[in-house]
Amino acid sequence: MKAEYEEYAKPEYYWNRELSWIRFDERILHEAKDSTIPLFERLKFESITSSNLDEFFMVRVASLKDQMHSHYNKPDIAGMTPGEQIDAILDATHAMVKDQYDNYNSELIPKLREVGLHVFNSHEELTPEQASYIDDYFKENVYPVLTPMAMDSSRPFPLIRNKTLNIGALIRKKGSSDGRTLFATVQVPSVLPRFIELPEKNASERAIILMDEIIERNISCLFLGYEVVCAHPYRIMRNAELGIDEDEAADLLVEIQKSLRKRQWGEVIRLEVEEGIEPELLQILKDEFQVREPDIFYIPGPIDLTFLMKVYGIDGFDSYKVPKYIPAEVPALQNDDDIFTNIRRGDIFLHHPYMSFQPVVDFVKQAASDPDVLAIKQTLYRVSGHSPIIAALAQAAENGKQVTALVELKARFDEENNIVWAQKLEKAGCHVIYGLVGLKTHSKITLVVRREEDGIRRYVHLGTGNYNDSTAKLYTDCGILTCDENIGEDATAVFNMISGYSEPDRWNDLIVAPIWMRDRFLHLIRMEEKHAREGQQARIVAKMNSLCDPEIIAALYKASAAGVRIDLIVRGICCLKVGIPGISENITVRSIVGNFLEHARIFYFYNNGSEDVYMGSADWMPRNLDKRVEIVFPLLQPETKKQAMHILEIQLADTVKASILQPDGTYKKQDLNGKERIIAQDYFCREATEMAKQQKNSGDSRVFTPAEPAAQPEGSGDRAGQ
Amino acid sequence: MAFLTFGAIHIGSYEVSLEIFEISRKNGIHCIDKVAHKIELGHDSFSTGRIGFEMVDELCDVLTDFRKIMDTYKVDGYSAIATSAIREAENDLFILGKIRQTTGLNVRILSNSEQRFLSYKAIASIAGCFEDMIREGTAVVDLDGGSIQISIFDKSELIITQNMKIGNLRVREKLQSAMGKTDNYEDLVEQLIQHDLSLFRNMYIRDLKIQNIILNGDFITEMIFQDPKHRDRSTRILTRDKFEKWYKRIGGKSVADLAIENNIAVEYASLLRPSAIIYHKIVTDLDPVNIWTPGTHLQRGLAYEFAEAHDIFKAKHDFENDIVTCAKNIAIRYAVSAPHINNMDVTAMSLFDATLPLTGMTGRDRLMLRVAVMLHDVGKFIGFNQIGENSRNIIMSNEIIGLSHAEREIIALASRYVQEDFPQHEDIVMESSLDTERYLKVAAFVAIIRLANGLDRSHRQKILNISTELKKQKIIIRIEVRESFALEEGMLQPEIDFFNEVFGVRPVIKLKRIV
Repeated sequence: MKAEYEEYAKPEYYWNRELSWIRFDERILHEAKDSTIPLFERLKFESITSSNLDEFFMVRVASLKDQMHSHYNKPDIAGMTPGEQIDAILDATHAMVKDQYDNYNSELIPKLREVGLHVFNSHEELTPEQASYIDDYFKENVYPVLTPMAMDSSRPFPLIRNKTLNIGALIRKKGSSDGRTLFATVQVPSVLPRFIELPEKNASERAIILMDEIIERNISCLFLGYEVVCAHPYRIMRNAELGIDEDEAADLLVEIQKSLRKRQWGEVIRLEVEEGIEPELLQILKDEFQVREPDIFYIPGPIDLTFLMKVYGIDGFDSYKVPKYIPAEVPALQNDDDIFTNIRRGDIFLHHPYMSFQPVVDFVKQAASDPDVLAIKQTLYRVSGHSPIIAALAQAAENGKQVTALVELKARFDEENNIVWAQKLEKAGCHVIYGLVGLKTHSKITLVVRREEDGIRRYVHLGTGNYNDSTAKLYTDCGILTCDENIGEDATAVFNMISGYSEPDRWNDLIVAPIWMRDRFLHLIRMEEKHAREGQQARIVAKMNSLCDPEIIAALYKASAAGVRIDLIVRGICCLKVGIPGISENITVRSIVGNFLEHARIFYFYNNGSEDVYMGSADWMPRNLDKRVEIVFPLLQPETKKQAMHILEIQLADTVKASILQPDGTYKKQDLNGKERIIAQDYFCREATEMAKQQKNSGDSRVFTPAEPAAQPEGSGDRAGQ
Repeated sequence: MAFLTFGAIHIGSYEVSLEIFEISRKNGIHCIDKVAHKIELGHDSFSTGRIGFEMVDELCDVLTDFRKIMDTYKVDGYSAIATSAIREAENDLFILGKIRQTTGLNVRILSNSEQRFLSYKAIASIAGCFEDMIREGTAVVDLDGGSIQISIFDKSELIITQNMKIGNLRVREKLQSAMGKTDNYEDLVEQLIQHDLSLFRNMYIRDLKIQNIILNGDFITEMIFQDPKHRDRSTRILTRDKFEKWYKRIGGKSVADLAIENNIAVEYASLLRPSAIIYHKIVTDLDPVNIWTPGTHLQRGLAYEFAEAHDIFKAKHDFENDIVTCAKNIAIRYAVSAPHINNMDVTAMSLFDATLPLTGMTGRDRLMLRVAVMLHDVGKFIGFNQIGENSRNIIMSNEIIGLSHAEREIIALASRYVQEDFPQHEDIVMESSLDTERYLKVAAFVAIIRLANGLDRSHRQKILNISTELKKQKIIIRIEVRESFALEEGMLQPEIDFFNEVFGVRPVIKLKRIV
């Protein structure tokens, strides 16, 4: 950290990032609890809190455990040692899980029943007809795929796979007199649905029951000759960090495949058991998995609530779901010209999912078949199954174009998926690069090189989101399509760099991590600080997913202390504290949790009136700034700049979905008293639809007037202390 | 298409790089892609005299990739050149063979003088600036891994160009062992290069005031002008003050610090230090007012040549004239009479042009002949015995910018046999690499020079006007003279006979006395 920031970098000025993350999951849970939200949407949020928590344990808690094991006791930016963090995390997550199941049991389940969906909590509640239906289902579909395993002196404790749901049981030999019990376990098969729908009792009530209940009910069939003393579901979470030694891994692909296999064996960091589990059974699990009491979660309901996402998907109940939004067409592309012609007319701004992701797919598709295109280069990170982009790239290679694809294998949890695509592309003749040693390539960039009448022209797509057409319907992301010469040059240099060639002598417009980005951001922040000191207007608005870089935060504090007005829109982790006297009184932080996952990164600097706006793939996190290849790009044309600023403006005006960070670290929704109800995400949906309609009606004209928000957001005046 | 694409590959001492250029009349030479791979070939060849297998394999891998990149752009042409690292390696030809075999690329090893000419062409291709500068005393300093080339211009002409083996990589390697014994690395480098530099100054610059200095070489420009607003090469001019400031930022720093501060690789940082010291020493010594760092390199020169060859545009600067002036200046240094060679230049060209239908020679040959005319007599500087042998040695030891080694050899042999009996091909192959074609070229040069020399036997430049005409088996040479031409005419028989033997036409002199 630069010396000038040190006085702003005291531990008491930061929130711990893990605890801040839990706050984020709580905000999602808050949505699940919000009775103004359609019931089935709430199921979705409840499910997300659960899957989020799983990932959090597998990655973050695991990493802290690793640190503890290796006696790495350095405190984090908030001054907490790994051990202290784990204790605090466990306290917070236990409370959170309690909250989660309170909501599930006393809110969601009763409400579902009210609207005609009965979720059976236990098989004991079934009617005899239902019970016999279940038993038949079990015999036909479930029993054949079960693999019960028992433990005794000759059979050791079996391998229990990470994240799988299992049923543990104590069994006793029938007719045995000594009362000795054996441990047995069976995995709830992941190939089968987690729940099944029961035959309708009457037209107004439908019912579902979970697979674990079905198995539990029939568990005695699995251990013939034994009596089942008790049976309870449990689940474990293992350490999932891929500890790959890249320097020694000659072939990254092989190494990741190896490591995926290893992941099944990681240390157990969390054990979830059914509340009321038999102490004897619990003791066996505790001993075998070597977990401490605080790592055990006693669950008052079904373990693993992610099945609620599937419940959301069952047919019917449409009046309890938000109608599906159809992404609008991009006005600049609503004509018959090819995409290259349209890009030549001016940079095209894309805002997904409000606007369709199709132009990005078309960009690659048209490039693949365009006879003048020489090369297509793209970074791929988390690609969707059956991705049309992959198909287009493969097609392009077959059409004789030079295709370079950087497939980042280190995208967490997605590795298996990525390996498949990588090999598919290689077969088609693409040049596939498997990431850089030591650096994850997180940038989202596509370059199309085209030989035109008056020279080589480069078309570039730069985005904040992955090239994944399915998540593009759920994540809010921005992008531009441009043929700006300077950006084209930089884009070429980016691909040369990730192909292993030397860095360019200089960059024109792109800001590229890990080498140049941190300094550029610090510089931009410092310039605002300088302007504020000189008594000029100074302002920073930044939107990102996470903010936890100590140096950037210290720079923001310093700028705020100098009088820069800073408004941050941070979806997830935020280690910055607001309201520290003399330090961060000029900073506001808000988090928007909505139906779409906020994902875009936009950075605005007033810069003495010339207003610089950047977008990109990087959060203000150490890993983004120092350990990844990231790209942040400036918006150079007034029109695109205006659109990005408009997004920030509307998000700052959101009065419903935005929670405001308080000095005590909690997030509070705003008091709506007298304020206009503005939901930014809904606003953008309406606006995009409206603009596409206008464009369609107005023919080919490219001029359109962006609709104004219903109420002017607080664009001026001191927002501090809100 | 209104433009051509061109790939230029340079295999240098510490880097192999490819640049793709788009060349059009409208936009000039425009680099659209550049890739570079660090590989210290010079490390091997400067210290062991050869390049090891592993490096050659690595080089071939990179070149294979380069070839693919060029294919992507569907380049209209390419040039691949290698400079000192491969030039100085004993296994140079094997390396080229291996490259050809694995990549299909034909790599040309440039002689130092060709390399420097190219690099100089790249600078001169920047419109305006260069022409303005060289009206006054100007030094072009071109530094690479193996050596440094200093070229001095004055009154728009190239005066002298000299090569000194003090390149950045070479200096770094040489001082590797001495480095541990001092804490003043700057001083060490300065001591190492001091002697060569002052010798150069005393011999060639003397009292010429150097107003401008043009610093060229890898990464210096980018290191000084990090700000992208200096994209226009012609604005990259520094004051002495600014240059000193830049130097201070580098002096005394460790390689690791330099790498971090400047965001460059450690390998580059280790070269940046000796480079900066060499540049600084030269600037201090020559004491110029302006410093220009245009940031061009060989590849741009190659693109420029390609553009010229494809008639995309014509050079503003007369590069051929540079070669001739450079030769003339060398001749003058060896006390050759300038009026004599100027006079011979005119007659020899007239004879060359007249014999063109017989020989089918090219413009390049004409240029070589002119250089040979300038230098044919330099051997006298050493002594009146063995003039031919001495001339040959002097020419072979001098840098004549823009000429390849093979071209220089033709010129050297021509100068030798202007004086000595012309040998048979079987004899000449014992001491040179001439094939019959080049042997005949030497013969033609010798015949023309001897005749031109004979026409100014008295060294009094009696000929006022000359015109030549090829007529059947004769070449009619019409000469206008003011005074008696008896000496020349009387002694011309052997030259006429030799000319006849070589060209198969008989020179016939037609004299006209004018008053």
